[in-house]
Amino acid sequence: MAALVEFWKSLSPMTQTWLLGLGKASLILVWSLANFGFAMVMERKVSAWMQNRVGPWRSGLHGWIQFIPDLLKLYHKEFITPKNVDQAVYRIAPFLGFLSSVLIWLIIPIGPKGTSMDLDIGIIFIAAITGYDVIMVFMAGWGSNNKYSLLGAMRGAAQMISYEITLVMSIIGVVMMAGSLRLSDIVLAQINRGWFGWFLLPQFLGFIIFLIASLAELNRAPFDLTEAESELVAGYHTEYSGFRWAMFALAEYIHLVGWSAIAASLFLGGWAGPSGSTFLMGLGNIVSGFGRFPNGGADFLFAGANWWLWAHPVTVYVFGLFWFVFKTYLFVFLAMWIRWTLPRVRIDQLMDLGWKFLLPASLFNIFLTGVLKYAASVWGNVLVIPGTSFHLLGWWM
Amino acid sequence: MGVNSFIGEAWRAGKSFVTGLNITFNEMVFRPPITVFYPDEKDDIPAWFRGIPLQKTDLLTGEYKCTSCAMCVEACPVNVITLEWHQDPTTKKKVADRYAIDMSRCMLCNFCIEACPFDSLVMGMDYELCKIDPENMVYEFEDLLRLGLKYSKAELPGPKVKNATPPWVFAQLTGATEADIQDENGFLGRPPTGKGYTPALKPQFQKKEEAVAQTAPHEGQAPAAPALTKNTPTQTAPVNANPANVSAEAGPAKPAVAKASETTPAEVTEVRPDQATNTETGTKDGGESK
Repeated sequence: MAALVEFWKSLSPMTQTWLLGLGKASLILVWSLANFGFAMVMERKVSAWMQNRVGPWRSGLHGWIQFIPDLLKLYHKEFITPKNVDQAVYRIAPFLGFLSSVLIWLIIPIGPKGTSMDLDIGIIFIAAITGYDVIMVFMAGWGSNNKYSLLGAMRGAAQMISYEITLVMSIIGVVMMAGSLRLSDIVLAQINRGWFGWFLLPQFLGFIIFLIASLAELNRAPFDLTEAESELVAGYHTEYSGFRWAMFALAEYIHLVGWSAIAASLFLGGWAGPSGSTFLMGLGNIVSGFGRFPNGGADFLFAGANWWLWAHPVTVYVFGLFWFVFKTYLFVFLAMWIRWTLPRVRIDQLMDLGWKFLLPASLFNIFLTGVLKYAASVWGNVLVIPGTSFHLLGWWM
Repeated sequence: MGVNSFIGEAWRAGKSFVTGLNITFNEMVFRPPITVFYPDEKDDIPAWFRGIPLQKTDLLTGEYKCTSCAMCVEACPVNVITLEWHQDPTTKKKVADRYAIDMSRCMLCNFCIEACPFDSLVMGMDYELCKIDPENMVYEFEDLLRLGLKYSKAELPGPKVKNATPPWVFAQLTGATEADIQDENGFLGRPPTGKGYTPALKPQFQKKEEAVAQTAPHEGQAPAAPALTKNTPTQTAPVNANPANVSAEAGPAKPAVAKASETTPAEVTEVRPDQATNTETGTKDGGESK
């Protein structure tokens, strides 16, 4: 071990950077593919359970490694390139989509200091690379030279561009409360606020908007207008077959898990576990206004019960990873649950929802958050329930 | 859009959304899957299931019930039934040489069963009928008789009882047991005997001394029942006709190849439909002859 450290220190900084980058990239790739496998089988299983079926059953234990035979089958399939496609665009598109879905994982904190790139513009970075997804969809649709593909791509571009705005607007409320665009800072802010202080409840409106907008951004049902099977054969990937089609499926599921991880980081406290100490901390914070006002009892309880801060770092990482994955898959399940419950919306309903409903609502959410934050800082001492130390605006401190 | 309708619409949308989620969640958690793991376990088949038309055998006498009347051939809307027959010179009865159903084209409409005046056909519940070679989808008389054994019943001799088990009743109601359809002596699948001849009974329905006398000569024979093997498609029929066979202790003579060769060619004047002017079978029979 010591020799390894010596060897590592002997390398030049440039080599270290490259090796570290390669290692992180490989880890992210493996992690994304593992998540793809699980999420894909989970989708089939969840849909089966909701329809009183059992889903894939034969491969592995109750069919839980179904993604391996699926991918092998797709790998063996013939890749047909139609005659009139735009060759370069047609061939690049699936890999571009895969790239953008994997890039999300760069900035997601999966533990204390557990990010590959702790960008201080985290949320903006996500919004930026999601732009590639629109390009991917449009490249696939345009390059295929097929009316169904083009229709799907047109719808997809319109839908994703509209909902991108709403998505970023809904996150701004969280950013205002955390005071940072950096994802790890947002998670840390939630840990400091405690269990009840996680941004899910104070930012409930923003959370709902984020949920709807990210479903639309992911092209998942009920917003799967780009690949509406009953209208457009398969939308923008009508002309794709074999492993290039599989790249779209990979991108879809990695994207889904990535978005769920972002949602978990933004609204559910990321890798923070709901331990007893954070529970007490949250309770105390609501009462005391997050440390702004004296709350001796809660402080005492918090200090006494907060055992895990002194726990071994490995334990912290393991528990952090567990809670992160748990929360992520909570959102993955929610997306699947919604997908297998709701029918598809029409394109005009989609646009109405995006522009006339969600965007004003997200702007209102920003306004509300700002006002409440200001009110809490100005009148925090005033708006107290008489006889208690319960501060009405404690949440928005 | 005013603010009130804005909020009201959001409220209604949220309410119906939660209702939908509740339904799917309840389905997921509280309803067990209804999947039947098909090759491992098989679902129950309803009594009216239509799998394949089969030929019945009278388990009491071992005779098949088909009289080659060609009503099913007439009734078949897709012309998949092939029937070839000749007349037995002794009993003056028609004997089927070939009765085949092309199951690759059969549409299981039940018309042949409805048309059959002698309750000879039954719609079986066997459904795993696929073959690798489509040629094998033609089910010959022996196949139909063999599969039809479990839908057959032992009918009591004597006049037919009115309101007895109707002809469209299937296996569960015929009361045929596994013991009934065992054919160790090559007994089943004979052509019907003529008028005035007492049919020999199957061993379990005979009186004791008859049964002993009957089973003895058959012990030396090969265990395979020639009437029910695929190798002898057209030779199943034409025997057990002469009265000497029936009245003698030989009893239910085996409808075997050996017996067929015993009959002299002069006695048998075969009337084949394709040779004779029998236009109805010539035109109506299935794809085999066309």
